[in-house]
Amino acid sequence: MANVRLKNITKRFGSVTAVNNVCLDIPHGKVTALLGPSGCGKTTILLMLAGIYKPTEGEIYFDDLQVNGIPPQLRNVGLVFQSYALYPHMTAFENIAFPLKLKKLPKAEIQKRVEEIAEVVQIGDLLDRKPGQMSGGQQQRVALCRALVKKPDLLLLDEPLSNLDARLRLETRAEIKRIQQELGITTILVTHDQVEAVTMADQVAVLKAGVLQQYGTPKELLEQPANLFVASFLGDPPMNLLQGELEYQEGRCYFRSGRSLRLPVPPLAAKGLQKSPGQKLILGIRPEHLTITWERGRAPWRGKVFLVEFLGRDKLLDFRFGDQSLRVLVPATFPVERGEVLGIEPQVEHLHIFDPQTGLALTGPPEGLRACSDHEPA
Amino acid sequence: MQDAYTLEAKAKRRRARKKAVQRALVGYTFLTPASAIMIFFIFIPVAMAFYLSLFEWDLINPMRFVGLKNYARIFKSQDFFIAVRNTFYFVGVQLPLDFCISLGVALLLNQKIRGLSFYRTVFFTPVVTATVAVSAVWMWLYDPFDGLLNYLLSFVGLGPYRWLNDPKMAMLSVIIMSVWKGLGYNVVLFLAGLQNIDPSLYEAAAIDGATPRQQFWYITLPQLSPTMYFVLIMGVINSFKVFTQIDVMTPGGGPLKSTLVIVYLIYQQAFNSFRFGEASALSVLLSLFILLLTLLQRLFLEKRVHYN
Repeated sequence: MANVRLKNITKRFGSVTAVNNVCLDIPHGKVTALLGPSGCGKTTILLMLAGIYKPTEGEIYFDDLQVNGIPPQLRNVGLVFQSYALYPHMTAFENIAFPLKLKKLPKAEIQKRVEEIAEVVQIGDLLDRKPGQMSGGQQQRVALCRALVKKPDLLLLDEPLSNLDARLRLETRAEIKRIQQELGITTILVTHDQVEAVTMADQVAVLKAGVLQQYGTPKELLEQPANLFVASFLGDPPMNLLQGELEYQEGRCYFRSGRSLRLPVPPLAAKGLQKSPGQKLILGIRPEHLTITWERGRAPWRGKVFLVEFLGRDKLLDFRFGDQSLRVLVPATFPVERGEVLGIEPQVEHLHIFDPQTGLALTGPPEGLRACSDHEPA
Repeated sequence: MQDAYTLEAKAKRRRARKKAVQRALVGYTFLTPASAIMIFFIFIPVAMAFYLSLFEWDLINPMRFVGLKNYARIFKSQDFFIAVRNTFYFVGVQLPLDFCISLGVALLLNQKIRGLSFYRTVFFTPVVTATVAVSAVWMWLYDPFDGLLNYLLSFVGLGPYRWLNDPKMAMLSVIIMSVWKGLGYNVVLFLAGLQNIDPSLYEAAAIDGATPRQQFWYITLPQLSPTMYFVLIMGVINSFKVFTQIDVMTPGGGPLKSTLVIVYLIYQQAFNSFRFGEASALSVLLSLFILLLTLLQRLFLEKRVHYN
């Protein structure tokens, strides 16, 4: 098992910078997710950890060992490819046994270890089949076995759930988590799906265009997004973002957007703000942190229901204020019709305020940004 | 009521049948050009060869039915066994050489190199050049007196060799030229096969601890086996049919019949001796032999081919 440390890692392909000065401390025995939209450099980081790519700049450490120049076969990492990359001409058993066969272990030992890991991943009945005769989910389990059988220090998963259907995805998510905990192996997974990252990982690193945006626990990322990108990328349904400006009245600070939205900014949140009236801001609040109130007169905001979306357990109400929309999550049993006028009350402790220029959060300490002390998010 | 019902059903069936006939007609019409070519230029000639092999015929006198006499005569002739031995020599040397060299070249070209299409073109040019032209050029190269090959070899103290005029070397000379000419075809096939291999298999193998040599052994070879199988089958068929370069470079069967191969014998029987019956019988034997070899290859090799 190893602590993994990326120090100022940059990777360029020709003139394209895929990964830009990323620092990460990945704790041992935990699951860390690299999250971001496609092309953000997350898979590049994974392949650098595996040793398939070499970083253009910076250093990678496994514990205290600098591994930049160490080829993949000597790193003792297990990698599950997005496409699984099982050897099509070998049976599941031969696939799993392959890393051990290359180590020239005795046959009996190989047999024992393959059966052991097949037991853990529960694919004992598939060992005679070739990849072509297995479903996507089964292939993935075999790929996972192949990665785990050599008892790697580090398990790397590239989009482990993306090729599975919705049902299987839930199942596999739990399964991977169970196996990881059973073996206590340091795991890094790459995903573009924030739900996947939040549910599976202990730590999430959010990347955009090769730059680390924020690194922290899922809770930190959801509650204290460091910038607009993280705020809008994580959370389902996504965070409401309203454009507006600051206004001062009788010594109190308000956020105003258009004519109909005016909201007192809590003193705690206002502390970090420069007290300049008219300052442009973006206010963020998650749909679950807005409540509908019947006392319309007292409610800070009032709006007409524009759209009702039924999500199963919840309903998502869409209000429109001018060209801005505000979504509110209510229980599915909540009686509401389209066109109704309702009062909306935000939970002010969950307000986020962002600078529209830099996108940085202006409220709350950016505690999540402890990935790298000398690193400034873009 | 029932009558009306059955009448209507009958009419319905008739209409359906008419429609089916129409559809079939349209389909066969589309098939006509291709099937006409195949019938007139492949099926009928093949049947004719079988038929002719039972007759004596010199194009001028009427055909005379002789049963299996042509075959009996073939098995009694010395030339037939010389031709069989020479053909086996050609196939046995040319095919493995061609296979190994083209695989090697394809592996080299499969590296990330600049100007891949240039090299591909270079290797493919001999394939599309007329065999007669290529043979003529190689005859100059092989010239015992002022040929380029002897000239070059003289610098390393070898030769001079008599190449095509030497009974011991004539076949080998033809083989060298044939390998050179046929190489590009297999190179292109092997390259396509190599480039079809999923690169993530190599990444996976590297992570699993495979050295480049092991990656070749455990990934490249099995993944390339369908291509190798195809190249081998086609190679056997084509090598057994070798004729043009033999005819141009070593006319008359070469020095001491050293390059007399089966197809050349067929040619001699038909167009020099006007024994069309015997030539046809030889053709029949050759096709049966190639068929047998192909079946044997399928029997023994196909199960070792990994289709994805």
